[in-house]
Amino acid sequence: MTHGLSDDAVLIRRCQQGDRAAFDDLVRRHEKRAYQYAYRLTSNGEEAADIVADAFIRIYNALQNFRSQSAFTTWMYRILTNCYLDLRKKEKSRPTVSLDASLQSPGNDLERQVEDESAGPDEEAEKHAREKAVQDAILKLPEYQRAMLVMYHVEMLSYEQIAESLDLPLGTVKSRLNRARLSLRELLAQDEELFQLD
Amino acid sequence: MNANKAREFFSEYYEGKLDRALKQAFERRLESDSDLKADYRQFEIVMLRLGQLKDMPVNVPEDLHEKISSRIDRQLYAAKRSAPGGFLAWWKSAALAGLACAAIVAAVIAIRGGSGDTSQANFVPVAPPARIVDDKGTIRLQFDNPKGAPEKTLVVRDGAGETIIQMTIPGGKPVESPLTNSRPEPVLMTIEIGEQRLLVAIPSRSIVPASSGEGSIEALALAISGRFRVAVQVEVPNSSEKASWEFYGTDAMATKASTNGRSVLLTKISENLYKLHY
Repeated sequence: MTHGLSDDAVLIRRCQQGDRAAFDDLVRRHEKRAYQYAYRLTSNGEEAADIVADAFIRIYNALQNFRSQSAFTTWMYRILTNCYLDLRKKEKSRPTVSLDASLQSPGNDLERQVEDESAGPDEEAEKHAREKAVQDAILKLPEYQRAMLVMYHVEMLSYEQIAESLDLPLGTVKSRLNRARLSLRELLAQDEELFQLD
Repeated sequence: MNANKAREFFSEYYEGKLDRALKQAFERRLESDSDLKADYRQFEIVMLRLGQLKDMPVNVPEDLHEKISSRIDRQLYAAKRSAPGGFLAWWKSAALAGLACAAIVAAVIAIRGGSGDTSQANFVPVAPPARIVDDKGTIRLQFDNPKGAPEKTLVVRDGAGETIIQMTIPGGKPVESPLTNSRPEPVLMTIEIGEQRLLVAIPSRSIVPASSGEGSIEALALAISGRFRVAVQVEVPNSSEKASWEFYGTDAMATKASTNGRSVLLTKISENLYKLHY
């Protein structure tokens, strides 16, 4: 689905005049895209929904100052990325442990057997496994690199749009994206299957 | 051009953006360095795999719009409450409209009257989700039902399924309730507000000194609550899933547990409130 700039501009103008229904329309137009971006950054549905909700609250509060000098979506990505970074910062200060760490039980063994079975020679399963390996590797990258990779390769933003969204010089975006791709290659280098072409 | 410098140009070379002189220097280096050539080959495949990521579907939850709207409503409501003449005036006119308690488990529900007006033109407010919070050591249930929102039914049950409280909360009536337990052992409270269901283990006044156990995830929450005297909110879809666990020392975060399904995570929300989730 594509959204015309002028449509956003009309809705934003109405929002700025206090029309809450127009804001609701604006949310509806962009929430799906926002959620997909947030989900790819977190790989967690609950967190993604929280990020999107937080972002739209910030957008709501700041909309009076939005001057349409940039596209609404570019601005939205900036706010989403900030919300994501804030969430990560908050999480780092909130300890979480996996309880499923050390106890061994027959149940765990069974789980492993089931997992092994599912990873069969089936082509679709292999494709899925490769995609998951890439997705998992992306999640190991520093937050900023992760956001840039998702913006460029999944959300299809141009270097210029990313620069605007993250408020960075164009050259910095290009060099950081290259570094992110190199880091990703290193993370994936152990997985020979990943580097076999279809 | 050395190998590290050449790596800095991987993206631009891949995208055909290098100028002629740099491109030639890059290619010369690539031809003379088999390791670099292998790295670049892998880089090309990484770029290909990255390009395929956009085809991976992401399922958007059906209630996403409601979730966003309710969060915005909650925020607007909080802003109104904290505005001069808003919350204070509202608090002064507060009325205790509901009080219920059981001999064993007690939860006091205070419904406060007043203007919780978040409505604006063309806007029907949606109630934000209820929350369990740690208010300086007191575990509380908070629920703001904004003015104009449909009324909600609140039901609080103890671990045995006995109803402790059942009441209707009209729009514009926020609820805040301390969740307390006077039993000798922790109690798992089920709180239902409309379609929302919260599950929280509330500790007793004394520690239950168990070092290990097995049962459901609900039982694990109760065990953590008993051993460490903390409230434990359960946020897993299937809380009856089997688990076994062991405790070490006095730190709840040192708990080890195994389940047959996904790994269960324990997050410390505050000194007195933890969350079990995936």
